[in-house]
Amino acid sequence: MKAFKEAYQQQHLILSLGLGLFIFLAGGQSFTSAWMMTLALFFNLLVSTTILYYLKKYFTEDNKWLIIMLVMASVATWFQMLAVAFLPGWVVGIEVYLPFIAISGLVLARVETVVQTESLKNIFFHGLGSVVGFAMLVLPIGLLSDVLGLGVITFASPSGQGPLFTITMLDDAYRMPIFLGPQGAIGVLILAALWIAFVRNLRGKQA
Amino acid sequence: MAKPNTSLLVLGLTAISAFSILFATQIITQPILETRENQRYLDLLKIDSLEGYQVGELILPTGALLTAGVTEIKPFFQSDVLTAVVYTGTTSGYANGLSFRVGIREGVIMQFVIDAHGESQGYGADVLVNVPEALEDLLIVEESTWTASLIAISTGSTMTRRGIVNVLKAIRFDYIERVAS
Repeated sequence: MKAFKEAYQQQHLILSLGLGLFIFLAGGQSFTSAWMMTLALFFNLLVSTTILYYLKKYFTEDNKWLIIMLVMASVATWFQMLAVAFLPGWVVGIEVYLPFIAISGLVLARVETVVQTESLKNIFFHGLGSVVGFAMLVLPIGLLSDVLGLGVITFASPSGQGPLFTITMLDDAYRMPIFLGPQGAIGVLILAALWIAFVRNLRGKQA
Repeated sequence: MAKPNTSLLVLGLTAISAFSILFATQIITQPILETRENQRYLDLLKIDSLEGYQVGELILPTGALLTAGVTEIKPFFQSDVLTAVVYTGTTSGYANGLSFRVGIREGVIMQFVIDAHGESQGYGADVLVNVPEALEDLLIVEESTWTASLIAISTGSTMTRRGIVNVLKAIRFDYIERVAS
């Protein structure tokens, strides 16, 4: 559990800011896109680190980074292929961004460190901690982005047959385009800043 | 005999394994994607199955069609005669990014579907709700008919209508040319 807590506290902010926020600008529905990106990150970290853990005894100075990049890029592409085929409703707009997980320097560096220094059990908890931290930042922001921009709380069906549920929260007149589409970066950054400040304030009070 | 380079060997085996898994996944997922893609065309052309149809290769438009915003053309043949075409693209109304798909079968606009747009609520966006119904079952060659039908539903949203009319004009010209050839 120490590995989980450490990853959750130290890595999730960097991962989320570096990797997660741009997905809102691509997906039509931010909450669904945030969920899909969380799933992709979990799958990629879990599978990549497990494979690399068993390959690490063959690491040399010459091939280490090539193997890490090869495995991560392949796993990310594999997940993208499976997601596009079996979860089309969740990848709308972000399908091309899923392999970005593999080429993110932040994720690569983290995977390399964890694989080299931790046991298999700790690797799993490290991954889980990062993903839970990532989800706790991007899911609330995605939800708020949908509420303020689209005026609804909605979650797409994985098969692409319309939404699983849609709850209208705001009338058309109160919906704000700065939380959606090309202008969405402004709104998402504001939401991210507010959410981080809220969580830090909460932690400060608990301490 | 020289000792094999272990570092290179491991790298090579990893690459071959990765390629094999991705290739196998491609073989499994390709039919699923093709079936889904075909279903989109079936819905647009209002046909139950592609039995009896030869599905043509995807064509990338050029010239006036490309300028109008069409990005893909998918032809369907019966006994080597062109009988249906699906056009996909993105045009501009009052705002950019009006994505559409239109299925034309035997000269008739079977469906005009709008996938995404940035038109203003209360103006263009409201008009777009009625566009598919206004164009349904009209002949693509009869420009005056579909123009009149669009005018009837788009009071106050001239720019939105103009975007759709421009695209349909280019499609009409292309469709006539394709059928004639």
